[in-house]
Amino acid sequence: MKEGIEVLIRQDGLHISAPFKQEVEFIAQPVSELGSRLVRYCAPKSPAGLNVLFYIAEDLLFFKKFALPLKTADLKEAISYQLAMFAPFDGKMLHSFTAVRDKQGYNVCLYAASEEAIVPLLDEVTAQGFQLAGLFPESQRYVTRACKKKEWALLLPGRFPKLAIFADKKIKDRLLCHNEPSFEELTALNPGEVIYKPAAQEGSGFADAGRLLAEKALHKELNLLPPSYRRPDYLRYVLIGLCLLNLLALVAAGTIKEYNIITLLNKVETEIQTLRPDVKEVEQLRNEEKQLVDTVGRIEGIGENFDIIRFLEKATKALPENSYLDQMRMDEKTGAIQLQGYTEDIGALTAKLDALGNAKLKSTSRRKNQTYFNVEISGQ
Amino acid sequence: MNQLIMFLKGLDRKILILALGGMLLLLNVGRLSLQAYSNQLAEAQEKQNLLAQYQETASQLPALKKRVARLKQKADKLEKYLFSGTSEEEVSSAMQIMLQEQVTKAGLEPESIRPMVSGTKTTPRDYHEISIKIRLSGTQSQFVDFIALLYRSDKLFQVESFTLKPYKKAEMKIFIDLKGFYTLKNA
Repeated sequence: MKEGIEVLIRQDGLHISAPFKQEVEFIAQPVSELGSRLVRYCAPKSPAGLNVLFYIAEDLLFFKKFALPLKTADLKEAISYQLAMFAPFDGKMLHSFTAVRDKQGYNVCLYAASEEAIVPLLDEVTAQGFQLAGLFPESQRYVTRACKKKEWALLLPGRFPKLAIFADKKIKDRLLCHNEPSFEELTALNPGEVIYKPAAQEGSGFADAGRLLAEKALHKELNLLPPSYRRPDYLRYVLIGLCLLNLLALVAAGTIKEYNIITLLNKVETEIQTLRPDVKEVEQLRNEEKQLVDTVGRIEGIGENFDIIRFLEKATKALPENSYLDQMRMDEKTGAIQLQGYTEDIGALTAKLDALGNAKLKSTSRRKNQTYFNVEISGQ
Repeated sequence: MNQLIMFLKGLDRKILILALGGMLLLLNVGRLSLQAYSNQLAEAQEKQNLLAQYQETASQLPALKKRVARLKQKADKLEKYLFSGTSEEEVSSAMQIMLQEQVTKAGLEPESIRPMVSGTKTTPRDYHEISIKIRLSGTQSQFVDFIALLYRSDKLFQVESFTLKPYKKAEMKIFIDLKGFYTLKNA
């Protein structure tokens, strides 16, 4: 932050002060060579590294409070039109205003000064390489953080004392007094919680305005400096730049995330497409495997044939002599073999039945000196 | 709160509404973007899961190919034991011819060899059956020879039932119910 010099333009001359200088310099009217005087005042500091802040005494400023309708499309334009009617100056004017909107309309507080008296001073200062920090009404010197959130007033002495009434940091009105008013007179006007006055005496009821000067002035509004003299608002540009940068970072982060996810999706999709034929082949092969397993299983499940040859051999050996078979039959459903015949020695037959496996003698009958038998052999 | 109300009152209503609209628009755009992003994330997760499944399935392919090849070999081997033809009639004729040859070879006297052609395909299986009823006469030795020939043949017959009865002095009547198996080929 650059250091600054404060120049208060008054009717009688200029008061120059700076935080880095203890003495205050006064230049009486008519002022000439302001630039070179400032250089000398600041020496050994270089003008390039210094800001000059101008204040104009309230005596030199025209103030007007008025209202504009809510329908006003462009306040700046409307005030510019009316300025010539209001202001008592001939020629070009420097002006600035504040506007507070309420239900009835816009309450405008307008400050104006003659350009003729101010601009040559500005030119001299800038010609020496100083930077102009602003051009404010004197009352704005007292608008600091100390007067935040309260209604207050400031009595400024002069040819006609002026009472500036503030709400928070905004000027509400400025009253012109024909003589020095007492605290009681001002209190009757109900201008706010505190009434400040420069170099106020104790017991007078006024608060010392020096307390406000101890803090840095806010300079939020009512800058009368012509646009051509104003420095670019670097802080504003930096803030806009930061906002844009943040927005860009946000968009970039979103884009990168989106790009990453789209890349991932594409990669996965490509791999899926590559694997899809293999997966289809696996599905086909699984179906084929199932069919083949079924086929093989069914063919294998057909079952073995009954060993008729071995059975006949066993039966031939097992049947005792003088035994004859009328019928040998294998049942389709049970697979049991039934032997029907006759024998002379049923005892020998029953003794040899075990040799034929799980054999049961189902029935016997005696006819014509022979024993007819019916044997069932199961579990073949 | 009062100060906020005062501040809001001090603002131009148009600007306030515009700012509010802009803020809501931004919030909605943000909400929609987040929703779209989370949907994409879910889609990516789903696709990654699908890919993992595909990779696992694809890794089984070589082993599966080997198993199927082995099963095909086995099935081909087994199918050699089955008759094959374009129709049931053609297959039953082939079975009949083969049985006739074996009966003659064994020396048995054939009385009848009768395939039971159903003419219907009730089962959707890949092989079918034909029942054959055989009536023969001959000696036990000839019957044993026939059975031996039947069991040794390269075609599969299943003996469902049989009945042997004495006939004349040294012969017997033989009744056999067989089942022959076949596969149908496209004509």
